[in-house]
Amino acid sequence: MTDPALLRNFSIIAHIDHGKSTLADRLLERTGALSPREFKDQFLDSMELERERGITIKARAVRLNYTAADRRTYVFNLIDTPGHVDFAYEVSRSLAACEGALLVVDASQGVEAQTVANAYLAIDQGLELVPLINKIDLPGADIERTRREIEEIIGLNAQEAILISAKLGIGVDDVLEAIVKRIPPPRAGATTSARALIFDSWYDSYSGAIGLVRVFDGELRVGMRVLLKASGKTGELARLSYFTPHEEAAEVLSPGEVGSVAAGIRNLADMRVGDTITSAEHPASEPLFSFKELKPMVFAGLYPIDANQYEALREAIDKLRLNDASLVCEPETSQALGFGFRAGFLGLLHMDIVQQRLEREFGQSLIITAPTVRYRVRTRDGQTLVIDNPARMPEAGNIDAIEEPYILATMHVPGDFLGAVIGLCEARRGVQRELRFVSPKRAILVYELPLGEVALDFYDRLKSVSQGYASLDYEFLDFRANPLVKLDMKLNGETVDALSAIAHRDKAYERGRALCEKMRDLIPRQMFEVVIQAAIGSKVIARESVKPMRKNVTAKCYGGDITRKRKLLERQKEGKRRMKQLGRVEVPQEAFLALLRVGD
Amino acid sequence: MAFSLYVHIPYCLSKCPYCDFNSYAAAVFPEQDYTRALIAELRRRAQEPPWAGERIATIFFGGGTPSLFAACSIGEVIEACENLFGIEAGAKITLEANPGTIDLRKLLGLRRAGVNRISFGAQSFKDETLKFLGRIHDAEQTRRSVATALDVGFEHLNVDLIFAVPGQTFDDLVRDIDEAAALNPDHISCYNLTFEEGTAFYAALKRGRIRPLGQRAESLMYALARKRLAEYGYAMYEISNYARPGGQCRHNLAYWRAQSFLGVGAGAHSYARRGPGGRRWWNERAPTTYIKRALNDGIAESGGESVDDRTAAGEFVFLNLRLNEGFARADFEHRFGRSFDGFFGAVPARLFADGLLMSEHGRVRLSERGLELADAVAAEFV
Repeated sequence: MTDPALLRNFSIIAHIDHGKSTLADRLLERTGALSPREFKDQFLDSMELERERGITIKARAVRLNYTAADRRTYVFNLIDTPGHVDFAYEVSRSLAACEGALLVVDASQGVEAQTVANAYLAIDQGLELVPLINKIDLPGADIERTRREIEEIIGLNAQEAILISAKLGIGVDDVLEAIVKRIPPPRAGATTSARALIFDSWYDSYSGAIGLVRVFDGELRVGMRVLLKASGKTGELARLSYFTPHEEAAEVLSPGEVGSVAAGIRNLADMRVGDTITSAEHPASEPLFSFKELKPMVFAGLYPIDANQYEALREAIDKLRLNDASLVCEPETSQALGFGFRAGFLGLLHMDIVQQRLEREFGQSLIITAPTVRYRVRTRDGQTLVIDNPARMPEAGNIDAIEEPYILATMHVPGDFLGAVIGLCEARRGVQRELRFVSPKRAILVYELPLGEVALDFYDRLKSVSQGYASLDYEFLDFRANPLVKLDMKLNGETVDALSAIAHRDKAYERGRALCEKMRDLIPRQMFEVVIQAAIGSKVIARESVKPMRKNVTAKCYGGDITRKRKLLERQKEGKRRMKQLGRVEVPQEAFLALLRVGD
Repeated sequence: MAFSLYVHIPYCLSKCPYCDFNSYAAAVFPEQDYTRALIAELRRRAQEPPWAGERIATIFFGGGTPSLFAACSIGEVIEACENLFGIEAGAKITLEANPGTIDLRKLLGLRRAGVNRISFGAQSFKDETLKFLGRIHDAEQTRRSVATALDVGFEHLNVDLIFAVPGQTFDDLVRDIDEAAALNPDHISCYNLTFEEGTAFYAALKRGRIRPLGQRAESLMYALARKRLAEYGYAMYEISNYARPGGQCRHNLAYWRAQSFLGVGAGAHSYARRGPGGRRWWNERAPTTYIKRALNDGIAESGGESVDDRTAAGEFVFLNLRLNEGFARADFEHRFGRSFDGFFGAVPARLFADGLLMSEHGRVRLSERGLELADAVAAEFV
């Protein structure tokens, strides 16, 4: 047990490349957590890589011992955070496990977007932020400008910002002292009944679900029976450990401490981020925080390019889900693509990660269809259907109303970009709810937006119109009836169900045209003409065509070098193998996601 | 069975910017050593199956620029062939010549040495185009060289043309064909310029310094060339080759019919058919390494592969389809033990239905449209 007064729990907030990993390395090095020999690489980063590869041991929280100028030895828990709106909830739980954060800003780059978004989150949670101005050794370093930006954009007093060069190790000792002096120790527990927050979890094939927790009240002890408040599951604490960054076993985790728990819970879905662990014998009456169940926001079809690979894909998805409880998946079939799955994701980044992992770790060749949101359809005969695949939309004649999900989006926007961001929200059929200046240069903008307009590329567009400075957080609001129509795509006259989309009536023409154009650019020339059409019901609203190949022949046959000729032909054929054959038309993977590439 | 022999001479006075053949620009080159190396390789092959005891049906001196070699060097090689294998009566013996490196004396010498067919790398009759292509000769030299070859008594002549050169117009192409036909050769090759990796043109293309004419123009030029050449009596018998009756290049036909051929010289390729498939190999590309190894023990192979039945069937189809006459279904079945349609599953039916392949009188060949998409069609069979 560590005296809470000697504990400091913090994370590092930084824009990518601003030196978060290098600083973490320096902290590990100065506190002797890693021997120089282990210092081949940025340690936290290599852990992230392992995590990406699905290796179970990981250190999203590292425990460091530091003997300060006051000669007392402190225990630091450095907690890592992911950094994307899809995982905003995970970030917020990680921050909730901390009392403070180091805010790292690159002196040559100034304050950047990701920093701003996470800094606001940290401020909202009442964390003590310690600004650090990094890379002061670079010729382009502008310390005064960086100070000004920290004050104006984030609203922190930057006069006491610590000047460092993580790379050269300058100022690192000041940082360690500031952690002791400026970041408060954990508050004393409010009850004696144990309460710990799960802020990360993963699956271990040996121990089952593992939770990374921060103890707030009482204590966790090996052998103790515990209850997970939100999931209602109970288990016995089989193992407690912390990472130095090497895993060390612990008997007890006491208030303020951070560590991992294995409680014999098999299913990762029962050990969710945000849940509270308490004693099963003397359960706390209230959870630490109200638990927010993560619901999938966007849905897309996952299909093997080669129909024979369906079983292999199913196995890969099953394995992946062991480690990703937020991925929802059900079998479905498509006329065009055959057997596959309908999967639900937290957002587009999550979808991207799932696709990458299925392809890289499990060697699957996939078609992923354009993501869509979940619509509610009221039919003439009084039924209410939930539609997460546009192809399943009932006949137009049988639809009374289509309702689409709305979200409440909260954006922090620097004043300079306010106009552009408002323009974007309006173009996405948004309804402004609030516009408030929190400082002369920073506004909070709140919009009601149809999720379908946000799910696709809104975040990327928001980042691009604000040069990356605007941040976004959103929550589900309600379903609203709107004049929505189903947009079908046809290739050489055949409707391809996997390409159907739902669009607002006023935007359907424009979208159909843009989709046709995009598809035309993505589908390579074939031996015959490919006609691409967008249609609403039986009415064709846009048409493009991919002209047939004119000429595809090698003039000369290389004086008997037939091997080379054959290899060239094999390469040509290999290119075709990565495409999906729809009827006679060969369609590349990207074409199924054309919807995402249709700009504003 | 008699076989075709290819002899590679890798030296050139300068490297053309479009050329990706195994050739080296050199002002001086070890002609004697290289000739001895060729003969050493031939001597070794003459003792090995499948070449031992077989006669030679055709010889083709390609390059590089074989016309850089003295007639007596070429004569030595031909003489060695006669002594080691025997050359069939009436065999065509071709030598590629750069019009800028040949004169009356050399042509007479070559004729005496046994060469009976000259293939001229004319490429164009427009000096501007020749300059762009990096050629060392002008149109007048081509006219003179070809006329001299006829005077000397070469009954078989080929003139090479290149079309779809950046900047070339349809009129330019017609004029080139007219000029070539006016020289009265019995064979004309007309190649679409391609930008091959590793060439100066490829690099220039990547940097955006030159622009190809585009698929549409190339396709139209190809049709124009076919029509114009036919008017002069040159029938297309292969994608890029045209001949008057009796003028077809028998040597190249051996490649396209997927028959055995022996290649000697730096970087030369060989194919020894065995059953449906066989073995392929290729020599050291660098002339000095080639010479050293060939002089040592007559072998200068740097790589090879065995061609299994499946691969051989694919090659048989894509090579034969380059020929206007295609191939006989019976020949395919005889060689591979199964019918063409049976061997390739759904592929032939689809290509017939799409009008890319045609079937008539028991033969399979490319349609007009299939000719232009020969590679896309061929890719279906590999």
